[in-house]
Amino acid sequence: MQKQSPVVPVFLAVAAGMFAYAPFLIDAAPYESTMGLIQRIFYYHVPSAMVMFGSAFVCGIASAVYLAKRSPQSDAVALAAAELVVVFGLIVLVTGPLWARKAWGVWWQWDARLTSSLVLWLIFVSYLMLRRFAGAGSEMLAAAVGVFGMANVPCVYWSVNVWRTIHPNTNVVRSLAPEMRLPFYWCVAAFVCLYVGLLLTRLRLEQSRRGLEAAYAEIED
Amino acid sequence: MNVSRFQIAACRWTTILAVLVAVVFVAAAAAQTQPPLAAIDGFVPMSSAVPREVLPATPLVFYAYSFVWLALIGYVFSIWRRMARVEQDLADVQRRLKDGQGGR
Repeated sequence: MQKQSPVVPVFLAVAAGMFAYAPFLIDAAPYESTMGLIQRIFYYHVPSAMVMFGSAFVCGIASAVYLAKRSPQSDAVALAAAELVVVFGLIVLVTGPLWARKAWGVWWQWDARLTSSLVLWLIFVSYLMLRRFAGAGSEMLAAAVGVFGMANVPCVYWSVNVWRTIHPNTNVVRSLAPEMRLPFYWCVAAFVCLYVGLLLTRLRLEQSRRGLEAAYAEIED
Repeated sequence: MNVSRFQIAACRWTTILAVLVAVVFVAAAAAQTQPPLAAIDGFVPMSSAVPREVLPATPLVFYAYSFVWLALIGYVFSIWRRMARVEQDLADVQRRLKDGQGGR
């Protein structure tokens, strides 16, 4: 049985504490002049997207290491990270339209950022489906999908600057007013702590599952 | 994991993912085909209309934050359930292995 890493409860406790205090900071931040209250979704939407991008990179790098060295540990990291891309991607894809409905008047627009984000999410859904249903040997194919998914991240990130789109561009975060900066980076830190805690927990689950498979194999022998 | 349990899990995950993808696409398609909110039965002069917010932001913000928490709690619950199941199976298998070694 795998032992839980002692840092996991620390990360999860820090994240819980930060999330508990976040509403007070968000409430104290000023309203955006054209969007008003609905802009508050930004404080969870953008950190979720950042974590989704980061997790795609973790999955892609771990997949590349797996392709190069066939290390089971990196395969487990890639699988755990891919699952978290799907979870945080779902948050981004649901909170975004709720914001858009008020800010743009529509739930969804097939513009570059929204469409490429949906495609990124679907790539990692397909990664998980491959791992789940493609049977033995699917690790290699899934690793290639993971690398491809990581390569898609810069396209999603820069899409708002390269193509004409109604989505805010990448300068928004850099040019945030100081009163908005603290709650935003607070939420980013909270999401990152939560992500690390969840990644390590999911990794432990994967290692236990592999231990179980090894034990079954030992029984059959 | 035996074959029947794997098949049940496979069916469950296929259904969940298929529903999820279908919901995303149907919602996006529905959003694109929404009719404009123009007056159909008659026009109201602007001077007599009570100024109000057409689409209040509060419920949308509430739904967004609620969804984030529901998704994260749901994911933590799913990890916890899977972990409990795997660890229980692992304990059973280790017990069987120990019994087998004792009988030799």
